[in-house]
Amino acid sequence: MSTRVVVDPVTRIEGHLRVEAMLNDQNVIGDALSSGTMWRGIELIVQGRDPREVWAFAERICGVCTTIHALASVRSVENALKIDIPKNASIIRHLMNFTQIVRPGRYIRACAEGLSTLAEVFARLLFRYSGNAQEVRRFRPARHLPERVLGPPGL
Amino acid sequence: MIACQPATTSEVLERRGISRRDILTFCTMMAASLGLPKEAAAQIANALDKKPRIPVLWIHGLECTCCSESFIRSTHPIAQDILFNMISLDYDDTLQAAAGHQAEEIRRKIMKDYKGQYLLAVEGNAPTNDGGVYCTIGGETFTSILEEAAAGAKAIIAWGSCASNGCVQAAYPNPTGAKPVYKMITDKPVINVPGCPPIAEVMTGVLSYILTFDRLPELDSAKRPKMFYGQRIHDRCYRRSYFDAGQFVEAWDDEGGRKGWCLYKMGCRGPSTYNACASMKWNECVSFPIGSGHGCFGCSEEGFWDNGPFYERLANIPNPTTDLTADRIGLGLTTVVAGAIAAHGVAALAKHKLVDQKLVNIETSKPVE
Ligand code: SF4
Ligand code: SF4
Repeated sequence: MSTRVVVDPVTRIEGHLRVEAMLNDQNVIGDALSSGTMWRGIELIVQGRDPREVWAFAERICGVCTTIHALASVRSVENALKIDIPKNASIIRHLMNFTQIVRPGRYIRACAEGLSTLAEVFARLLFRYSGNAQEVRRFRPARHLPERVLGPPGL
Repeated sequence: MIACQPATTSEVLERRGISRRDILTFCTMMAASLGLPKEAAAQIANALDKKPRIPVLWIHGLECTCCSESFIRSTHPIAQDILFNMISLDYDDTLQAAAGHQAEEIRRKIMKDYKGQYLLAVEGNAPTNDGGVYCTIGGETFTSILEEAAAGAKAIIAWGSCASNGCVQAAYPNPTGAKPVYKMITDKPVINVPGCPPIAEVMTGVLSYILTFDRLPELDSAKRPKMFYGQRIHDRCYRRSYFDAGQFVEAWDDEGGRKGWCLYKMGCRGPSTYNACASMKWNECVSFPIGSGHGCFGCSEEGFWDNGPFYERLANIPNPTTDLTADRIGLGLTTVVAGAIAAHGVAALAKHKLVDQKLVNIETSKPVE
C-alpha cells in the first residue's frame, strides 16, 4: 500500500507552495511533485507597456527578492533593444544586488544562519569600501552574531 | 501558540527581557507618529499593560509578501519584538512554523474560538475569475478562505495596495480578476493601508492605534487612516521649492538632476499621491525615492499601474496649497499622453541608443532633445 503525503501550504516561504510525496511499501518516496498554487499573470500584464517601466511590474513577482527581478527585467529590455549601459550604471547595479543580499537577512537567517553571516560580513565590507561611513554606522549586526565575526561596530 | 492566550503585551515583553524603559520609549514614539498628544503615550502603555493581546489571522492571497517584509523592519530596535507580542499572530503562512494541515487546523481553531474577536489582516487580494483557481491554500480557494475568515472577524486590515486597491495583478488586463478586499467584503469594517509596500511605521502605528483605542482610526474616502494618508507626497516634498520656482529635471543626468530639482517632468506622481513617505521616509527614515532622484510612482493610489506610463508627466496639477485632502481632489490624475503611449515608448527606444542615461540618436550620435 502506498501512501500520499500532502503538505499545503508550505509555510515560511514567499508565495504559495504545495508539495506531494508518494511513499511506497517501504516508506520511501517513490514520486513527488510540487506546485506553486498562486498565479497573477504578470507576464500578460506587462505586454504592450512602456518598456522603461516593466522592471517595476517584474519586481512585484516577489517582495523578498524584489531587486533581482527588477535588474533582470531591465537587462532583458536592454538586450532586446540593444542598449549598452555605461560602466557606472553597471557598478550601481552590482551594489544594488549586493544590498539585496543583506536586506532579507532576517529570512535567510531563519533558514541558514551561515549564509546570513556571510551576507552581513559582506555588507560591512561593502559599506566600508564604498566609502559610505554613514551606512557603516547605521548597519547593526544581527544580535546572534559574535563580535569577533564582524569586528567592532564601525569597522 | 494558541495556548498562551491571553497574556497582556507588557507581561510577554517583560518575560522576554525587554525593559520597562524600552516599552515606554516605544509608546512615546508611537504616540508621536500617530500625531496624538503626549498623554496618548500613557494610554498606549496602559493598553499594553492591561489589555489582552488581539488575536490576529494574517492571510495571504495574490501578493508578493512585500508588506510582511516591510512590517518586520520597523525602525525602533525593539519594535519588531513589541509588535509580534502586541498582537498574538496565531496564523501567518509566511512566518508560522506549522505547515500543511496543521497550519490550516490553527486557522480553523482561531476562527471558532475567537469568533467576533479576532482581527483579520489580509495581505494580497482575491482572484475572482475561473472560480478563484488562481490562488489556493490547502486545496481551498483564497476567495473562499477570505469570505469565511471575514465572517467571524471583528474588523479587517487590508495591508498594502493589493488588499486595498488591487495593485499589480489588477492592472490591465487583470488576468485573474483580482479584487481588493473592500469590494469582496462589504459587511465588516475595513481599513485600507495602501502602499507597495506600506511604510513599516505606518503599519505599526495602525496596529498600536487599534490596540489602544479599540476602534479604527479616522479614515478618508478611500478608507485610509487620515493621520498617515492625509497629505500628498508633494505637500511634504523637500524638492517642492524647486517645483514652485519652476526648476525641473528634464533628463536623468542633466544639470537639474545633479542639483536635485523637482522631478515632476520625469513623471513624479507626488502631486496626486497621498502617503507619508516624504515625512516618515523609508528604511529607518533614511530616504525615499525622490531623495534618490526618482519620482514617486503613486503606489498608494487606486489604479496607479494604469495611470499612464510612469515616466510621463501628469497632465495637470491640483491646487498647489498643502491642505487639500484626498476627498477634495479626487483620485486618478492622468498623464499628459495617457493611453497609447506604450507603443510609442517601444518605438522611441528602439530608434535611439541609451548612453549615459541620455537618448542619443544612433545615426548622428547627437543627444535627442
Ligand atoms: S512633483 Fe514630485 S519631486 Fe516635484 S515637488 Fe512634487 S513630489 Fe517633489
Ligand atoms: S514615494 Fe510614492 S511610490 Fe514611493 S513608496 Fe511613497 S507613495 Fe509609493
